[in-house]
Amino acid sequence: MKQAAKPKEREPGIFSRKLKESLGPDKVKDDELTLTIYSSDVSPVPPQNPLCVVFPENRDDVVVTLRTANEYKVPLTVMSTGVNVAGNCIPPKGGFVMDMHRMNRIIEINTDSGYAVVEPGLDFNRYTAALREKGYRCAVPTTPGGASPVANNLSRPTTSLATRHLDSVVDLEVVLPDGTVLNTGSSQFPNVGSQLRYGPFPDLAGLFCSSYGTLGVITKAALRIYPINEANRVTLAGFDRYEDSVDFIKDLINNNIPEHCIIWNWQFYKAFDVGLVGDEYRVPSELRRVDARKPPKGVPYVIVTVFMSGYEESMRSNERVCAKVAAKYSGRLLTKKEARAIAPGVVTEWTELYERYRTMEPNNFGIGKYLPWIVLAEPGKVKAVEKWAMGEFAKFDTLPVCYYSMPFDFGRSIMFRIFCFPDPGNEGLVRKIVGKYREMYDVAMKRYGGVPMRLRGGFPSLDLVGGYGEALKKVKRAFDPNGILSPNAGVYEEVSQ
Amino acid sequence: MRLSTNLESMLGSISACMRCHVCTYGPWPENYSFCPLYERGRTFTASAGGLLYAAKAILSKRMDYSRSLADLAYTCVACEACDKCLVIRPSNPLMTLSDIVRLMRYELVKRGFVPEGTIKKMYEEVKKKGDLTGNGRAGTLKIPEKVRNDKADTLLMADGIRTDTEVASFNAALSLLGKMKKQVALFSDPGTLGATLYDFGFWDQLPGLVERKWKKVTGLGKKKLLFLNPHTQEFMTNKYRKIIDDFPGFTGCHFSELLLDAFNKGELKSKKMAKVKVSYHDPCFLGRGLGIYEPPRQVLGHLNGVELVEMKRNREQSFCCGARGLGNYFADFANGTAKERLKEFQATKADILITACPYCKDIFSKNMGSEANRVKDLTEFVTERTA
Repeated sequence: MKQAAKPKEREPGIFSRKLKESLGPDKVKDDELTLTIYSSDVSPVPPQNPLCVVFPENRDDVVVTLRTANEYKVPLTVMSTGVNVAGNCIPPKGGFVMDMHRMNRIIEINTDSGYAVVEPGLDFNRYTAALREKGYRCAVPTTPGGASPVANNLSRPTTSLATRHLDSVVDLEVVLPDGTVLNTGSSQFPNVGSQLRYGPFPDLAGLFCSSYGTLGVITKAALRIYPINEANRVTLAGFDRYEDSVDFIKDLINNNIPEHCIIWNWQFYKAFDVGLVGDEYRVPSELRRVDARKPPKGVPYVIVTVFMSGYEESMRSNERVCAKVAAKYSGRLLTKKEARAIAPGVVTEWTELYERYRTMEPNNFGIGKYLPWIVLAEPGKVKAVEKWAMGEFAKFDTLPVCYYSMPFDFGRSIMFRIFCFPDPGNEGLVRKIVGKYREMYDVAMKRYGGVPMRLRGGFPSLDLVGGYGEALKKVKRAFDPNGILSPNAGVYEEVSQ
Repeated sequence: MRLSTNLESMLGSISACMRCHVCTYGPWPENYSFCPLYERGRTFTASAGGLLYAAKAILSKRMDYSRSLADLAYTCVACEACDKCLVIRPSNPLMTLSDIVRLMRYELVKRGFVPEGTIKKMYEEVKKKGDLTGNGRAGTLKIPEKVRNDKADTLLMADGIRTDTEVASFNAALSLLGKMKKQVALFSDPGTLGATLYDFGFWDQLPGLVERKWKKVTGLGKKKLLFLNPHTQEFMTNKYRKIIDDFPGFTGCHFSELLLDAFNKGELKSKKMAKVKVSYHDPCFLGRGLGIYEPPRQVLGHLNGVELVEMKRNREQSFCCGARGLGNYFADFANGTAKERLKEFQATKADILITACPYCKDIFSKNMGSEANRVKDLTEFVTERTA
């Protein structure tokens, strides 16, 4: 694939001036402070100052910005709210950032059909509060409440919590670099709402999911929402082996019991509310000394949180089923009291998140001083991934080793997300671990059929995926011929930088 | 000084900021916007998080201290709304997020980056005199014989009174003390008790001043300190311990609490007066700082014919008046912020806006123009409506 076209105009500042003329100075900032503040995030990705930061307030502003960027061939990095971004909002050299935070409206909450139409700058805090007022909820990812529902739903791995579905996107409004505006779902038809993801034509929304801003800028999204039922429960089950917990959740899913389940390893649930905060590690010292593969006596190796909702009567019978199935796989249900005695912080958080559907307060979970490694594999194979990955992580000597794991698409795949906590000041170690992660993705795919999820700076390249890669590159060329959209997202390696 | 005085020592906690914007809005489920800086700028730059990212850039040598950073740092009103952030937990547990902002101001002051205007004038005075005495009126305050008793257990803190608003509030308080038949001793030392020096980063002069003042206060041997200015009360209550080693604490009382007690005991009685609708603005340092939300409201509840109508953002989620936003990052920021808050007051359709802080009253009055008399300090309003 061709290199990104050379910028048309090299005169310093001309691009920002042009945008200021078109949008007004309040929507375009290029002062040193703003450029520096938008050059980095909490991740270890190296900072890079943008040329300017644009703050669109409506779709027309986005259209103008994209047309101008396309004309001047200046690369664009889109930031929805800037949370849970892992370096994805740091622009490439010579690029600019479009911060969507001012486009934060909830346009519609359709409780009849079960979707909400929202803008990308909206965050989970406001979104969940507004849904709750209508008796509804949404898929809440493991991210602080300041994160964007649109961005998180577009990157599939983070959206599946509290829902059985693979993703929550129903319909998207997208602006392409040439200013074309399209709706991917049923709202493309006059006077029709967003209730259908696709109908008589191909499913275009899929093109933009997990595309990390490389194909178009999303200005509006219709997302699935769910009623808050009469009863909501988080049931906890403890297991001494990861593979038993995987069998447990598959069995429950096959019998239509849970809305969703998550497996948490013991070092994660023990460290959940203390974590790595402020200037120092506050993880209890016993977690930093003990082999993560060998929990102390009486501490389950993993705890599974089973989220269920429905009528009170069905909750009671479902809990009995959970107990039966847990025993079937050598596990047992834990009362909240028992679980609190083991890990008080995390039980409170789980209850808040899944029984009350309240978004998370920022805690160590989202701080970002950890390095995550994520794959999705079939249930049978993910068990082997866990064993192998835990062995590899033990070699890093960066305890604790935390992971959580959860089913996608009714358990067709199981996500396994593991992370360690290297000292962020030890750049050599961080680099070494990131390098090791690349090797591990390669092994995970070849040996276990594990598919990696995050792309930036990692694996895989589209060159590895044959005809799929070729087709996607053609789409990219058609949509974004100048390669201005998120060139450093790591999706189209050849056009970056 | 028990506070950290070196921004570098905060790098770990500063680096923890993940841009979640929680510093800019209130708790779930209302999530009201409560950062005046962000309300005006609507960019991450204009937020406590933005200041942390600027600090991170400085500490990693990607940016230097500058006049524009000083303008931004001093435009922040330091209303402490952002202190609810759970992520920024420095290893020095005495430091909060808003303390880090003030520490950044100290670092800027050390390098000579002090914004032009009011802050610069104050800094010149502090550099010269070690305190802000300016046009302080402490020495000119007249206190009626029936109220003043140097042997009384309660010490009325009347330091740093400089403006007509503060004098009016002080006089109203004296009138109410007379009605309650209470006597107080007076602390009317020239200059301040240190809150302004702390807020604006004049930290070189801060520990000495605070220790001197505390010595003077304790030298009077009083059991209880009675405050009119919430900035002073909050500073002495919450910040003296961050500055003085082994600070023993003290029993403090805000004037609104004294009024409430007097109403409850029947020492103060409401007059029968025409009906009036009022709204109460929570001063940041009285509310968020000291947790005194209900006493002023309960005092209003004791007044005949008074109906209290709440503004949308109230109590913990109150929105600052803007008076202490004195940097030049945004033009006319303090007045603009006051106007935002006044819009909310106007939406209540109340007749009178009550507050309990002289800075709030000043800036609201100024921005009400010809209707300035619709803004009243709690002491003045209660004086008018009690026998």
